[in-house]
Amino acid sequence: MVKNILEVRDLYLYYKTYKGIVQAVDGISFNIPEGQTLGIVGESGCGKSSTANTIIRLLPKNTYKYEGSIKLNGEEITTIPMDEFRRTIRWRKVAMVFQGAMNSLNPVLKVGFQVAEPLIVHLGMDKSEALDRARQVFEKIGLTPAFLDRYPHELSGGMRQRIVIAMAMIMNPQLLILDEPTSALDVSIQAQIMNLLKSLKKEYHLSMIFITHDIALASDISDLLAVMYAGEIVEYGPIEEVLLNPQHPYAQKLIASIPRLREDKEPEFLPGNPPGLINPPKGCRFASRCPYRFEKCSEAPDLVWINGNHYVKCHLYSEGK
Amino acid sequence: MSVTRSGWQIYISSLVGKAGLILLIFMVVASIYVLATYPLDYGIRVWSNPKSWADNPITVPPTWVDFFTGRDLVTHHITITTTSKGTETIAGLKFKVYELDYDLEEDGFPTYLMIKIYNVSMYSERGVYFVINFTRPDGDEIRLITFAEVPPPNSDLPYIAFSKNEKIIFLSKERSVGFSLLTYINSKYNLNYTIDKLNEINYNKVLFGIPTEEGGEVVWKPLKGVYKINVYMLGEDKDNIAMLKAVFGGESYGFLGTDDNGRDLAQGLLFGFPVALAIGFFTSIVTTAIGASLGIISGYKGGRVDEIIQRISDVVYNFPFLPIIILIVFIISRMPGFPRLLAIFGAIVALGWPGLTILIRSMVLSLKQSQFIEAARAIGASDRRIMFKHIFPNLAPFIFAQMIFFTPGAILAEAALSFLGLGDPNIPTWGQIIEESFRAGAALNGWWWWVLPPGLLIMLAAITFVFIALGLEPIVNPKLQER
Ligand SMILES: Nc1ncnc2c1ncn2[C@@H]1O[C@H](COP(=O)(O)OP(=O)(O)OP(=O)(O)O)[C@@H](O)[C@H]1O
Ligand SMILES: [Mg+2]
Repeated sequence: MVKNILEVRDLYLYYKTYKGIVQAVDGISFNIPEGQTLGIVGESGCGKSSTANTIIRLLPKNTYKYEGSIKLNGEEITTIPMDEFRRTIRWRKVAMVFQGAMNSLNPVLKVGFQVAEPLIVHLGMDKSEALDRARQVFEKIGLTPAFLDRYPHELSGGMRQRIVIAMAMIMNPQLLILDEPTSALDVSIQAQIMNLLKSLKKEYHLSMIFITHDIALASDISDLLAVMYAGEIVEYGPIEEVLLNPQHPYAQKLIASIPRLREDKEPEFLPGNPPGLINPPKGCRFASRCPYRFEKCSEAPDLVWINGNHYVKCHLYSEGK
Repeated sequence: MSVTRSGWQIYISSLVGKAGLILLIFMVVASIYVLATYPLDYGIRVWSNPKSWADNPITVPPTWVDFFTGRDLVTHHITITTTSKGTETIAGLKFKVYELDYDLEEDGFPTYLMIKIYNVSMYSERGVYFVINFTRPDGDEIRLITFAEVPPPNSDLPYIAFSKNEKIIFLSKERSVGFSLLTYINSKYNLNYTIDKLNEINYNKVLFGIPTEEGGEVVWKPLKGVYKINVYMLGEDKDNIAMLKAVFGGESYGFLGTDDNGRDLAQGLLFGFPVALAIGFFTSIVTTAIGASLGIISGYKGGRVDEIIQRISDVVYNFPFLPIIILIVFIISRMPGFPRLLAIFGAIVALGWPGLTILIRSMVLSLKQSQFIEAARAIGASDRRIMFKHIFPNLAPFIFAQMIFFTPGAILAEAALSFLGLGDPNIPTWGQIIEESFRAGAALNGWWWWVLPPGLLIMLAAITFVFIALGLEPIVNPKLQER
């Protein structure tokens, strides 16, 4: 039985805005076994980045509710004082490649310094020592050490993405969260980055959370897949299970919308928009767009076990249907 | 916003940038020259010390005005001798003779004639007796003055007279010289002048000129040629004059003329270069450092700290700059012993920082939102580290340009305060020199060489930094960059 590196239970993250409370992460649960990769897919604004930020505890000032349990290697990390969390967990054990980070490196600092800085901050290394380590990481990441002295604007998008990955990998974390690491890159560079991630995964037995809105991409690297919709995980399971045998109507639609080569079937598309996260509907959040909607859908569904490690949040599969 | 090699290329390709840099190099070279050759306490030891200027003509224009006046002005001349020419026996008495020559080449009169006697050693209690004769190019010899000097009773011999203060005889003003001249013109030209009339036409004209008839009037014309002043000393054989100096007052002096104390303005104005640069740089560096740090802290920390810093800078920012600064400097300068230049410096800094604080704060507010700052926070960098290692480098070119922009302001503020009489009288700054010229009524008297050069130098300094700032503008503000 493989140990779980991460166990998330009933995680909530609400934001307070002048329009109301944004229920960005609304009671989600999932596990990631050691060395495996969880893909999180979903439409824009469904709460993927919020989920990631909650795990690494980067909460904005307007956080309204932050609740739930996050266990890293079996240890509860939500109750660790902020200071200690910063010193011992964030970046040391859990590192992250932020969404769009490659386009927002500090323009006036050399990338070598930016990659090396966590070592200076966390381990108190002096600059030259830290840069030496950064050089080693550069080599692993497929960058020539000469790039240490470059400024971000002197590098291509693919190189900058490698730089941000190097920044996250420099402390040898156990869990790496990647928030849409390839969405701004063209397809061939995207493939290079995916290959790099796969090799890191294999070489370091690295556990990852891979966030994307592109199911095909997620399937390329993930062992598990979570489908998010309006702040909730509506389906979660091993990747082949979810892809080949999707249960939730939303997941089914999503997978059917992947364009396929050599197939006559037109990709489907989903009419309508997801509900806003401020005062979302009481019952199932997908109900308004669901072709199988029935009375019970006005009540909030629970997570239903399908088989093995496959769960779905839909009344179609609950007992008293 | 990064300053890279291309930034330098952009700067140097702009005309104003180049001009500013050349002017700055000029100012720096002048300052280095001053620092290498002037004493550090030049202001007190030389500039404010009347003794250093006692020989100089007063409020005369620069020598190069010859180009424009059409007549060569009489140049200032000093003749010095330390050795006796020999002895001469007159009426059985043996005199030691010292000779001082002067060649009048210009078509004008020296403005005054002064003789200075230094360290006369006397080996007898009877002392010495001096006779000063004046020989003109036309061969006439006039006895100007005679006087005796005796050691005080019971003093040790040899006694050195005029050792502490040299003996100064203003020959062109001395009354006994006047009487000698009256006798001389009476016997030679048959002119019957009264002493008052002689005072009116001036002794120098009689000493260095000849009378001519012009429309029934006597007009004195300068007599060119070699003049000799002979100092005869009667005393013991060993008695001796260490040094003799004759000063023939010029109608012009040096490169920039003199002020009403005979001070060489070129010298004082040159000293103004390092002072102006020091005031400009020092105040702008300190002001920008304070302004920028407070702006970064205020913008980054937010909350109470931000509130306090912003309220204070709002208040200070809205102070009327000049009145308040005058008040501050006035109060501080009343404290005895407090260096005024420091007071001026402090006041400019105290009132100068808020503008930058307000600007930088708003820039930090938007920078703070950027992801790389969030990322820096995520990797665990401390607030201090983020402010100095991440935010500051982003603002550095802007802050640097602001510093350059502030420099002429500081130089002008010092000039303004000095002009208002709040400057340090012991340190010649350009503002200080303008103030003195104003007090002496230089503008009304037409002493332009005293007013214009310091004014132009203040302008030059300001323009230098404005040019540099303009040259930096396209680098700091990339929107202006033409590619
Ligand atoms: N600090 C915040 N304050 C208020 N609302 C926020 C805040 N951050 C995010 N949100 C809102 O929360 C919801 C979830 O945002 P999140 O960034 O997690 O979505 P996402 O799935 O990552 O979307 P995308 O694919 O566009 O990155 C969105 O509606 C967003 O507008
Ligand atoms: Mg996102």
